Amino acid sequence: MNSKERALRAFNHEEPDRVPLEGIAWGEWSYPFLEKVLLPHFRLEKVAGSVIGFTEELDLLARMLGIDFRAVSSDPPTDFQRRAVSDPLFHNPWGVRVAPDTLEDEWGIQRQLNATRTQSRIVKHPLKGVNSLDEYTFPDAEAPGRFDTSKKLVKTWRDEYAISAIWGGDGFFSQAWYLRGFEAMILDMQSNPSFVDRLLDELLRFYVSIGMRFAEMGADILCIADDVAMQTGLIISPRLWRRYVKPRMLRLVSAVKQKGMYVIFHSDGNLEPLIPDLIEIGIDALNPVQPECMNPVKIKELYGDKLCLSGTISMQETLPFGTVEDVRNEVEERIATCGAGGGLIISPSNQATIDVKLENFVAVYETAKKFGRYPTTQPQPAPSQASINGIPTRHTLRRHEGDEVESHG
Amino acid sequence: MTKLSPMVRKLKGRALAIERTGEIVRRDDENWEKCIFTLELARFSSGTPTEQIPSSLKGKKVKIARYCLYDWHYKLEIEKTLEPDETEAVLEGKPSATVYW
Repeated sequence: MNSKERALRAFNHEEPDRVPLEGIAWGEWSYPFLEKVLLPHFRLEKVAGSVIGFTEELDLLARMLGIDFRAVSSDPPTDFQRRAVSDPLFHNPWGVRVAPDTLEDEWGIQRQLNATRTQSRIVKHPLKGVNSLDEYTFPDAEAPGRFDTSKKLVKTWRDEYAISAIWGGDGFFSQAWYLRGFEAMILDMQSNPSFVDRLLDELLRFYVSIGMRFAEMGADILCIADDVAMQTGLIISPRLWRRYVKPRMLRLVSAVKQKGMYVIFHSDGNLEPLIPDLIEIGIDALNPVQPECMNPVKIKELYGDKLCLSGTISMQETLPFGTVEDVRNEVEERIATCGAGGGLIISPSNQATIDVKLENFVAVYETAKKFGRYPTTQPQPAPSQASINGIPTRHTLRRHEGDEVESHG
Repeated sequence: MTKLSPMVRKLKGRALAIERTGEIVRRDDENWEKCIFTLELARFSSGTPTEQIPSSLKGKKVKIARYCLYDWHYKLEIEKTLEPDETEAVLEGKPSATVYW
């Protein structure tokens, strides 16, 4: 059974040979962990300034960890890329440098790195203060160059891995307030519904167009990433989410599912009140089921026959502050309580920060590969013993000498 | 789309009972125990959304052979999935080495 079948079996709530493993996004605050800890440990060197080269290193890393998914995203159009840089420390890596440590993306959103250069924050919302959208030009989903990289990657990976595709940004609620400003967006939802409706309709048009292109090129899963919750609960009321976001999510999900794609929804925090709605509109999997604020066992019991759980391993507590034994216990408990029957994908529940212990991070994958094996028609081999106390011995897998690396940007 | 065999049918059923045969197969220093699960067939997997289980098979009890290692492998009241060849065997009414009734 290869990675693709393993992963898609989980989406279908079938038992694969072992629990599939997902990676994590490697941008923003996880980038220092990747660059300073993981890549050196595995003796992988980032090819500076090269998107394709960098992806190749990530692909090797994912193979070493046993990750069954590969992620692709759309990019800004070629003409924007020519003027822009790609800096992984930013929430949206592609942007034109407008000030020191400040990038403006193709939507006109400006982000600035914080003092420790570990996270970017929005410093300019292009729709702040405007009364109408008439003067704003939304990006063209079909612009040349948007899918050049993703098409190549899908072609490379589609037979072996489950390919999760994202448009390169966030979902309806998040992108809307990035554009408008958080406070203004919240006020608009109450007092200026026509503005919100038009803004979200424009986003819907963009997302559907992107999603259909991903479906055509053979991606398996559309990822909608839209943080709508804090750890204490939803950011907006269920009523507002159902009024503005849900109907548009339904149209997006229906469009890509008609093309045979699965859909995974990502939101940090506790979004439990929305889970029945997400199932109703056809969401197949929920990520990351943050264990600090949602109980994965309860979610599995209530919704596990319809919703695949993805993530679930504590990134806030166990990975940075626990021991390898703590990590093993958590992964084993999660598999024992949520894995039977299928529908579970294991990964850290968010991007790994620089304080995550290397051995803990690796232990997530090593433990799941061993303890996550399902009952099958034949006894399964034990996973290769490439680790010492949870830390794999250094691999020698390298890019082939002389391989050409394409450069963008 | 490049879905893996999108038309492959897999039946699913709820695990009602388990018979631990005591037959152990040792592999890589691990002891896998052959178990016989009794399933009550319920539906096709969602991987084939247009397929409906024949009414004559819905609720039918079949036995499948699986090798178990960890405690959580012995869970009941969960849905288990027949492999494609097992599914076709059930649909054709021809018991096989790993599925019978």
